Amino acid sequence: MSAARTSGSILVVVAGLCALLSAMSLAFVMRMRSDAEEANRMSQDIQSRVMLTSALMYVQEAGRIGWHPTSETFGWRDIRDGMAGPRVFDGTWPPILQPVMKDDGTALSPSVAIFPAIGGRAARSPMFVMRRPPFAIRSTIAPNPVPLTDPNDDVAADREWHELVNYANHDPFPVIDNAAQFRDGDRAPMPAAGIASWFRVYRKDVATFTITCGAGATQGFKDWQEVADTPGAAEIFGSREEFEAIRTAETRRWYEAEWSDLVTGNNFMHGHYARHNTRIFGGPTASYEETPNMRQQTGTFTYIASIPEPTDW
Amino acid sequence: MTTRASTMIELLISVSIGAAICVTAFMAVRVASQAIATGNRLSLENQLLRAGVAAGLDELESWKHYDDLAAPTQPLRADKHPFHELTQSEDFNFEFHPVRDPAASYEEWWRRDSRTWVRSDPNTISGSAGDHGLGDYGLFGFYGMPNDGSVLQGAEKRWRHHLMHEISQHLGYFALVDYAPANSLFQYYVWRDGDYPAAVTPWEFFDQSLGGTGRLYAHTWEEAKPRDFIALTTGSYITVTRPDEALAAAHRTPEINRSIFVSWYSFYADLGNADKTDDGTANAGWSVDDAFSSCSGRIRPLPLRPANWPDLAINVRHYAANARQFHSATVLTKSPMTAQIFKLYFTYTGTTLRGARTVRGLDGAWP
Repeated sequence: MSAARTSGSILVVVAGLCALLSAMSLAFVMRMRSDAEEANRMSQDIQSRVMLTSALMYVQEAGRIGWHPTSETFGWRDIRDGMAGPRVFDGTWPPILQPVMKDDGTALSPSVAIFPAIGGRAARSPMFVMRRPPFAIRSTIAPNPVPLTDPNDDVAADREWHELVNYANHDPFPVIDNAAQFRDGDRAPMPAAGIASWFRVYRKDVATFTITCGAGATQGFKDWQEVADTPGAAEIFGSREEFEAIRTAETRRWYEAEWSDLVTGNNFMHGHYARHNTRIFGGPTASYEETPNMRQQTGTFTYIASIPEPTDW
Repeated sequence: MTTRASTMIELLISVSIGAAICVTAFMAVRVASQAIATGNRLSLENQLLRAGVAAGLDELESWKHYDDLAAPTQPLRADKHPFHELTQSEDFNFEFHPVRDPAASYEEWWRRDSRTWVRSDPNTISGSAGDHGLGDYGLFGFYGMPNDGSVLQGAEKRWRHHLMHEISQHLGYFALVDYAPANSLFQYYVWRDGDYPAAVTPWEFFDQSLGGTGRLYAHTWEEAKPRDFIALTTGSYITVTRPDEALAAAHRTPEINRSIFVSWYSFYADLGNADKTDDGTANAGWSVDDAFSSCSGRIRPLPLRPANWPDLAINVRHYAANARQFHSATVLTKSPMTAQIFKLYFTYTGTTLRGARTVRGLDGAWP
């Protein structure tokens, strides 16, 4: 065997081995990529499901606050007289809704048929992490802690009362001192804050809502027509084709939920109070299980149901 | 021309080096192959875990393990189970928060809304079924109360008594806490004839024992009294169960969905203090722990899998406990190669029982 032929044989063997290893590595990398894509799709699916909780909270809160600068409203079905809400203290629509709502909760005309009018265009809520939400407060548990300095609190016991209990700091403590900036927040989205997601709430009836939950980059626009009808929205997506491509890649789910004004207390053993002694509602001296009070201010849901894509949402 | 031959030493060295190269190459290929096989196996197990989570989420939204329209039978549609079909009527309906017609007067509306008001003696069941410690609240209404000649013929007085009775008797306790208005106090009156005819509270609504079937008020730490949802579920567990798949024999009864489980452990039985219970045997097998392990919905997506495949199991639970409704899934994967087990538990906000029944059209039409 000549040296040249030997070298050639080794080259062939080495090249073959390298090709084999490369092919195996490529298959491995492709498998990992496939796994990553599947995991991403699953994350997208779960993210869209998480939106249901946000949407339900929105329905609960929007029946009670957000329509008037100073007044609360009294629920989607007014707890006082059963009329369609949300209405303010004197039973009228909040000023912001007066050009929109008829007495039965539907819109005055198709041109103003927007949420919260029954059958009006859905409320669209793209969910992203803001740099600083409006009215953001610090997560400080005790802004004004008692100044304890030793394990047995001996030193603290000798301090003056005004040193132990004071309110030198706001409680809760704002993230930012400037009042206007505290109110307005910084609504710019945080970069790389996870999968984009959104929800829509369509008022189907007085207290029944169709909720659409999505994970993807459409920001909750239903279709291109809605994009075209929304001032400034078309610039976000560029073209109809690009919007359709984004829409195809995202996950959407639909639910129906019925809101109720009925709530329960934190604990009510009817009769325990009547027979043994009188319990003051919210009495600070009674233990928690013996203090009936009401902490639920936003209503409950009589049912939540996953549904196929409805006609109107 | 002479040909230069290799020496034996050169030959041996060449053969050795060649062999070493071959062995090294073989080892490299084998290690790479093993790495890929391991990667594939891990990928498969991850896929299985993802499939399990997806199946769990799908079940929590569809409830099809409990009522599968594609299955030959739907056993939980039988009487006393949560998918039993109902017919609504003036006395029994779910219209407890009606919207007022803007054209109607307030007086025409309020009577319907008042159906949810409790009209019962808070002390009515301090001793026995006929006790009325603070007066006879049965005068305000009871199950089957006759026409009183009013506008609605007394339907608004019968309503909450019928709601409690019909749902607890025909759909079970989880359905009752799911359907009843959130402000409900769980108690109602039925008429009892005898020497002292009166409207009394049914036994199951104040049987203060330690769990079991037909004992909605069974409780461990407070006397029997009408309770709201929070007091009722403090230390208690009310769930939806398929009797055919309950692990404990006692839980395979057709009454299982009319059962309550109390206390976090069978403390009387465990501590040998059975004599302190009402009947000496109560609570044995009816604790929250017993329910959690015995009464889950068991989904096995790979029943015919070969023994060398990884296994996947999903347990779903719908239950009320500690003042909340829980809808949870536990996903388990087990590798036959390494015996490694992955367990993932999550709770979920999705379709409620009433939601599942609504999409199936099981509540009849009203009005």
